[in-house]
Order: sequence, then structure tokens, then C-alpha cells
Amino acid sequence: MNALLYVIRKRLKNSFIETIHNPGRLILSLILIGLIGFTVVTSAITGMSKQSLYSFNSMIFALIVFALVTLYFGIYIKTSFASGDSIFDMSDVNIMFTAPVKPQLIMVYGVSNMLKTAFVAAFFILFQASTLKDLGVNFGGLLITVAVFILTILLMSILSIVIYSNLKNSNKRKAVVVVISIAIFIPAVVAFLSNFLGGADPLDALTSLAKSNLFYATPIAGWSAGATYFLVFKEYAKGFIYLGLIIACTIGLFVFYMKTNVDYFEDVLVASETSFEKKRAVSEGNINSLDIATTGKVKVRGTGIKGFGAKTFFYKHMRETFRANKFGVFGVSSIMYVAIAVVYGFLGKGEAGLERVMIVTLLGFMIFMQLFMVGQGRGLKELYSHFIFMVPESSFKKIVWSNLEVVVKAFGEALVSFAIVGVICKANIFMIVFSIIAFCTYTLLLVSINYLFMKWSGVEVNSGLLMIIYSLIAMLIIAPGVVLGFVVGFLFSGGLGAAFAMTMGILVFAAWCLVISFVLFAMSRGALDNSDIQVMPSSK
Amino acid sequence: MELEYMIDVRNVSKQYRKTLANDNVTIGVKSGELAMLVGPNGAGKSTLIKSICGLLRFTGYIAIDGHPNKTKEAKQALGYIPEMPALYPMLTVWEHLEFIAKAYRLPDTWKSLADDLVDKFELTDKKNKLGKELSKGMQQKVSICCGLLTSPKAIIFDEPLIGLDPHAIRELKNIIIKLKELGCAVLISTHMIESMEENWDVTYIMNKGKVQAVVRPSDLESGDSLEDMFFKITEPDKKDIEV
Repeated sequence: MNALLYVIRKRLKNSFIETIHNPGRLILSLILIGLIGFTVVTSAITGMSKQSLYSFNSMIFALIVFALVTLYFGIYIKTSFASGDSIFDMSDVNIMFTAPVKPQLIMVYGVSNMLKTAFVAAFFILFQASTLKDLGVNFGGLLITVAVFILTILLMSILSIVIYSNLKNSNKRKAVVVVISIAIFIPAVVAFLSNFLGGADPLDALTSLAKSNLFYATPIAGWSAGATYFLVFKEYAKGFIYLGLIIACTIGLFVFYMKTNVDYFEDVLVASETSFEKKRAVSEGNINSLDIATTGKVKVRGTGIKGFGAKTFFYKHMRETFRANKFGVFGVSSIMYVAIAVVYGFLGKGEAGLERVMIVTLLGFMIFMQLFMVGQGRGLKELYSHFIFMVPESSFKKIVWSNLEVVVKAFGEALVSFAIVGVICKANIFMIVFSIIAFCTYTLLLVSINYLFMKWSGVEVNSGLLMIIYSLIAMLIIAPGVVLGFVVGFLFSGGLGAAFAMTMGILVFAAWCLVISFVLFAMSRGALDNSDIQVMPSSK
Repeated sequence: MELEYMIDVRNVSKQYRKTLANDNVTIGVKSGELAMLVGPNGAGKSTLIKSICGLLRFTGYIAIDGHPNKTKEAKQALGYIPEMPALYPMLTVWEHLEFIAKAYRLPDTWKSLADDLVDKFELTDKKNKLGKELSKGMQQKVSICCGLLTSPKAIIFDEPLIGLDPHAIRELKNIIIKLKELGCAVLISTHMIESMEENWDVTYIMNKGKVQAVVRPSDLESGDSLEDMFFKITEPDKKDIEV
């Protein structure tokens, strides 16, 4: 046990020392702490929205907690199905597994590594202090939310090891876990559907659900929402019941686990070796090895690559994308955009003029998210491989063709998302079309900023601090386009109607992004000849 | 005017923050010459190779076939086989070759050369296997095929023998000799000093970012091997460890 505590203590200490000695990481940490401090302090000293128990806003708070815990529940169940590589490093396997330490204790150590994610999520909650204030959560409530959340994460961590240790690679047992994990949500889903199909608005159906005991009876997510919600809104008796359920379940699972005879070393060994090889390959420049983990068994149907010269990169990307994913360019981000589009569609239904607000809001949301999504394109990943540097074509052509895939993806996602909002809330067709164009030109602009950044700094945007700088630069560059869009929209708002004004505003923004992206692409000519092949920062 | 060196590296330096990975390095490889780049870990061999291939920024001058290394002409003339095979997991073996052929705008005859290479490296039955389904050794073979497909005038291998099975090692050695005979300039970076012992024309011994010695077979005293020379230069003060 002492040895495990020693390793945990040393890891924490060395990670702290590394942060101090790494200026980029230090600045990023200080910025994060400063931002959190600022958010928490301002939310503590400014006036807050008074919300009573079961008010609309307070119900939204309960739903948010439920959704957040459900998301983590899914992640932890998935982790319990993994083969241990997300719990242990190769160094753990080589040193711990051969040491005379009880396997149960080693597993507890593994879980302590996973708890880092709980703290990251807790940071995320602290960031939301001002939003939560509008939902009636004061500073004390914020601390209760974080504390209950960390406790819930601890429960889920222990649950995931119990599942992991007892799965023994059996597909039957995995299926049982999946069925149970889904089944516990069925009562809440049925209650929601009966409200919704009974004619209620989706949001009303959700808030009605959050008032029912059935909602809080949902294991883990419901208990966590119940403990948080009732303690924050001072319904202590109920709050402590749900908190008690979480604590009792955590202790019960821990005792059960410590008393079972576990043998997981063999399963972990292969998975950790594979994961180690993958990390090593990535740190040595083979970023493509990341794809190996994200795709399952692939059937090779159509083969061949079209194009000549630089164009070949585009056709190669399309071949890879469609082979890796049945839905081609549509991925997780697309599902998120579509889900948001459906919600916005329903929110914009009915009242005249609201549909325009929803389209602009969706465009704003997608623009924000694209800051983080644009790096997922194969064009930027290509910079980690030598081929794009060595193919005898102009740097400019290679950049353009290599990044076309991300623009095609943006077009597909924008087409589907804006079409959904447009159809649900019957929006103006021109507004929809120009929003799609605006999203595509904005994506092009982000790619061009990335290459210009690379030409000047010699590195691609791939780490926290660079990402913040990149985001700030991107915001500064698009800001005049946004302002111009508003000004033009305002000028046209006189006699021609609000729809026309907003459409023109979006068109101006799209034009701004297009023109500036051409300028930046022109400025980034020769970027490939003026930068180093990229290497993933190796971190653990 | 006849070109002196197919791979011409003059006064190249490369700095990573505080580390000077290459310090004023000058080497040259003529057509039909096999040059070895040897040195201990951290000597700067891979950095130099990456600079020659245009994958890193550097100060100094590098030319391939008389053209600065970042020009299209230089890239067309150069082949590179990296130490870590960087294959695309979602492309088949054949698609890798097709990608290279089309990106380099090779004439249609590439297919027969590709077939020949695939056959030599025993990959014929793996043509439709995806990159992610191949073992590391197989990936290395595909990587070698990609590097050779363009019939380069100069070729650079970074630790080419690591991960290969004995058959592939023999095939690769034969190919290297063939390339040399065909007039290709071959530069090999390796830790395995003995691996090319019979066929090398010049060896550059690197240490601490510098070329410490340029050795030709005629420089070796009788009875001395390249390995002996290597240790004399890189570890002049160390004596043999007695067991």
C-alpha cells in the first residue's frame, strides 16, 4: 500500500514540477485558475436569480445535472468494457503487476488515475458559475454541486472496476451490463414520452419529468440530480436520502469488490502493450495510428484512389473517411449539430420571428464549436506524416486539396442542420442557404488561419495554450465580419423586413470569411516549406 | 557541368530550442554511392535525414540532384523510408502504392514496378489488406515499396532493417545493391554498423550533432572493422568492459 501511495504522491509532485518548468503549461494553468476564480467571485458578489423549488429554471438545473452524470455514466460503462488500457500504463503493468501487492489495491490505484477526469469535470462546473446563478444556484450551491458530482464520479469509478473485474472478456456478460445500463433509464424515458406524446412541448415535457419522483429514482444519474437539486434548494430531507443512496452504493460496491477474487492481469497486459505501442507511434510522428483505435473491423469494398498530383490527397481522404465511417463525413459532431438543430427547430416554432433568431443562434453555436472541430479534419492530421511534405507539388495546392475534406464535411453538416431547423420552424429559404454558405466559408477561414499560424510559428495548433491563442486570433479576425453583418442587417432592417435584413447580414459575414480566407491562404503560401513536420506532444 | 554530389549537404545546422541537434554538418553522396550515417543515440542522424527530406527547417544548404531540397525537382528525385512506417490505417497496401503513383504523377507503367516490389517483399497476398491490419514488419515493407516506387535518383533509409524478417532483410540488401548499380545515391542511417559492411563506399560518423569522421574503406587499417573505428571515434576514452 505504501508503494502505491508513494507512486501516486510522486506522480502528483512531478506533474506539478513539470507544469512549473513548462511555460506554456504554466500560463495555461494560471489562465484557467484565473478564469475560474473570476467566474466564481463575480457570481458570488453579483445579484442572483431567486428560484423557488420546482420553478422552471430550477428544473432546468436538475435536468442539466442529470444529463451531465448520464454522459459520465456512459463513459464509465464504456471504460469498464475497455481492456484496461485506459486504467493502466505500460509502466504500471511492468512494475506494479509483478510487485507483491494485492491486485485489488492495484486496481484502486488504477481508478485513482481515472479520478483526474472527475476534477476536470468539476472545473467545468465551476466555469458555469454565472450560468448556474441564473438557474438559482448560489455560491454555496455551486460547492454542493461540485462535491456531489465528485462523489458520483467516485461511485461510477468503483462501479466500472467491479464490472471490469467480473466481465472476464465474456460477451454475454457485456450484453447484460448494456441491457441493465439502458434499462435503468427506461422509466424516465417512458415518463418523458408520455408527457410529450400527450401534447406537451418538448421542454415542458422535460421539466414535468424533472418534477416526478420517477426521475430521481433513476440509479446514479437520478440520485445525483436529486441529491444536488434538493440540497441546493434546501429540501434537506430528500437531498440527504439521495446523497445517502450514493454513499451507501459506493461503500457497498467497494466492500464487494475487495472481497471478490479478481484476476485481470492477463486482460490488461495485451491491451496496455497495444496502447503503449500506439502512443509511442504517435509520439514518433505516426498520428495515423490513432485511427486504429477509433475504428472497429472494416470491410474493404470499393478500392482505388482518383486524382493526380495534389488532388490525390483529397480523394485519398474521402476514401479513408468513407471506409472508416459508413456515414462518410458525418460523425459525432454531426449528431450533436443535428440534435441541437432539432431542439432549436422546436424552440423557434410558432412565434413569428423566433425562427430567425434560432437560425442565427444555431449558426453562432456551430461557429463556436467549429473552432475545436476543425482540427479533426484529415488535412491537419496529414501534417504529421512525411508524404504531404515530400510530394513534388506546390505547397499551396497541397494545402488546399488536403483540406477540402473538412469543408465538404462542414457543408454536409450545415446542410442537414439548417435544413432541419428551416423545415421545423418554416424559415426563409435564403436565410438557410446563406447560413450554410457562411458556415462553409468560416470553416475555410479557420483552416487558413491555422496554416498562416503554422507558417509563422512553424507549428500546428495542437496544444492547450496554442489553442487559446488560436481561438483568440480567430475571434479577432471574424469580429469585423460579425460587426459588418450586424451593420448591414441594421441598414436593411428599415423597409425590407427583418428576414431580409438578417439574411443580408449573414451573407455579408459569409463574404467576409471568404475574402479573408483567400487573403490568409495567399499569405500562407509555402507554409509546408517553412515548417517542421508535426509531432504530437507526448503526455500522460 | 557534372554534378559532384546527388545529395549535397553543406553547413547544415538545426536547433530545437536549447538543443543544437545538427552543428554545421556537411556531407555528400554521389550517384551510385552507398553512404552510411552512423552514430550513437541522440547524435543527430534522424534530424539530419529529416532536414535533407525537407521535413524540418534548418540553416545551411541542401540540394538533391542539384536543386534546393524544397523544390519540386528535388522532391521528385528523392525517396525516403522513415524509421517508423507511417501508413494510413484505412488504405490497403495497393492503395498506398496507387496514392504515391498518382501524387507523384508517375506514368501508367508504375503498376508493373509496384507488382514487382510487392512480389519481392512477399506482399502479394496482402494487397487488399488495410494498413491497420499489418504487423510492424509488414508496414515497414510497404513503406519501403512506397519509397522505391518513384524510382528516385537519391534515396534515404532511416534504420531500414528494424522490424524486418530475414527474407525481407536479404531482399532489401539486394535492392540497395541494385539501386547503387543503377546509379542511385543511397544514404542509410543505421545503428547496425555491420549491416552494410561489404557494400558501403563512405561512412559519416556523427556524434553530438557533428560529423566526427568521414571514413572510406581504404581508411581502415588492416584487421580493423568499421565498428572498431566507430568506437575509437565516439568513445575514445572508454576501455573494453571485462566480464
